[in-house]
Amino acid sequence: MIVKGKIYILILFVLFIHTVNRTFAQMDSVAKANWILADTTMRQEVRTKRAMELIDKSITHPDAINSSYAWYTRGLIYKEWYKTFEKQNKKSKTRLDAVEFLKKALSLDKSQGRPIAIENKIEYNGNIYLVTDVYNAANIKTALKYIGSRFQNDAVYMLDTINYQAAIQNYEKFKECMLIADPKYNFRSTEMEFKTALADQYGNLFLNNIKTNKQFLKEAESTYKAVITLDTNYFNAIHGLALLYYNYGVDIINSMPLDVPIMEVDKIQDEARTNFRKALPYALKAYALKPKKKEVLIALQGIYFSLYEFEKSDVFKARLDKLPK
Amino acid sequence: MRKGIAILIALFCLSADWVRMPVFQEPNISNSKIKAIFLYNFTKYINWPDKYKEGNFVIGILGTSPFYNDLNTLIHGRADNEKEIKKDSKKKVGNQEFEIKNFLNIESITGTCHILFIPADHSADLPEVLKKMKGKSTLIVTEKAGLARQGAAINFVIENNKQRFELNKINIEKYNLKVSSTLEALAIKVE
Repeated sequence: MIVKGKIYILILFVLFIHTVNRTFAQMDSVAKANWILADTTMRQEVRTKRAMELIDKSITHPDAINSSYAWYTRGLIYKEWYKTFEKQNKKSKTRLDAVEFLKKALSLDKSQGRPIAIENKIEYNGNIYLVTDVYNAANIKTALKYIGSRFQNDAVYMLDTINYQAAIQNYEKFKECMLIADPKYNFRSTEMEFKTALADQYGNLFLNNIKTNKQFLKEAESTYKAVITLDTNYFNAIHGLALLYYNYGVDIINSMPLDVPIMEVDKIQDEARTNFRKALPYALKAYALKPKKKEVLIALQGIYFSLYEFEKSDVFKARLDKLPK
Repeated sequence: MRKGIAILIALFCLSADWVRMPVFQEPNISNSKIKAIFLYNFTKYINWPDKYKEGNFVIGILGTSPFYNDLNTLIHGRADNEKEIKKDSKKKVGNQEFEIKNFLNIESITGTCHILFIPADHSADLPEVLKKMKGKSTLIVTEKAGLARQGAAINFVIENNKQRFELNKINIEKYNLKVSSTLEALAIKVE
């Protein structure tokens, strides 16, 4: 009875090995791509390029196309290329590809978090090697976290009035990668920082030409306000919104031509005053949060000055003068 | 260790770069701009005697007010510290080119002056200025409450958080100047 049971287990084991070997028999070239990548006798650029070429070719095989291991390998090789040769390229296509391949690997993953050893026979330089590769889904998440952090870095560096759209795309990719790697990732503070910085850029775009770039005023306002909704005491957004309204008011006046008809001056002043008044509660809130911040005192001094409330302006000027130099 | 340092550097770069304070614009220039626009417009709605329609159109500023430089920049497009007459000025009153003059004190007010602006901190000089300008067709503009009743033709005031101006028609006509009904309608009338 015991012998019969042992034979049964042995048959199951042989069947398992057979199945694994069959499943991965077509994976030899996938494993070979990994092997090439690790071959330090070649220059890194050469071996990585060759590994990419081989994995690109292998992935089209019917067995590979639905293999988590194949996409995982492809994603990691692409990530390696990006990391070594394209890290400075903020619009790297290889990085985007790596993300897609790693996502595909995760979508096909059935390992339930357990590392799987994969044996393959590969032919390399005329020799046959039996290699054991380890498929570990955790590595996919680590790679996505790394790529995500690079997207975030690039979003930061690209956030200006020219590249802001690319910065948004990079930021979204950062979020996408991090969410896959860690569904519980807390974006709150990063989100507030990024959106405030983005709103600043929208504000700059608007103030570059308040007549033609009006759409950026709305973008800036709504982006700052979205941050303030997340945290009603978020200083940078509150201060930024105050400055947006204030600077708009100043620009309304400064963009008046000298020979503007005198009948229109009052109306233009009304429009500017509306913005100075809008700026005031946000500037006061910023002051309540950071009463000794130089920029806040300058803003309040300027807003009250622009509203011709000179006594109040002087109060903040005096507070500013009292700050340690 | 290296990885740790790299993360620290990355974090520093992140925090340093996300936080970019928007630029704050100087409010004084916009305040000067409105006054300059009013002054410029006064030249359209006030009529000077014929003998004042030759040569440059002179706007004088009493004392060392920053408004002198602001007005120069606004009218001529650049600061005029040398007090030279701008040849490239496009803004004109009829055929007359603008000339902005800085009179450091009352004694230095000489020659023709179409508009004389007395900044707030020189308001106390108004009675003496009035004596000096007697018989001349100079539009005297001030910026302190009550001065339109003390001899100024036009006085800048703040009303409801806006720059406005008081106009004393009698004081204008005393200097042989004529004011248009349009300007009167826009002003706060003072008698």
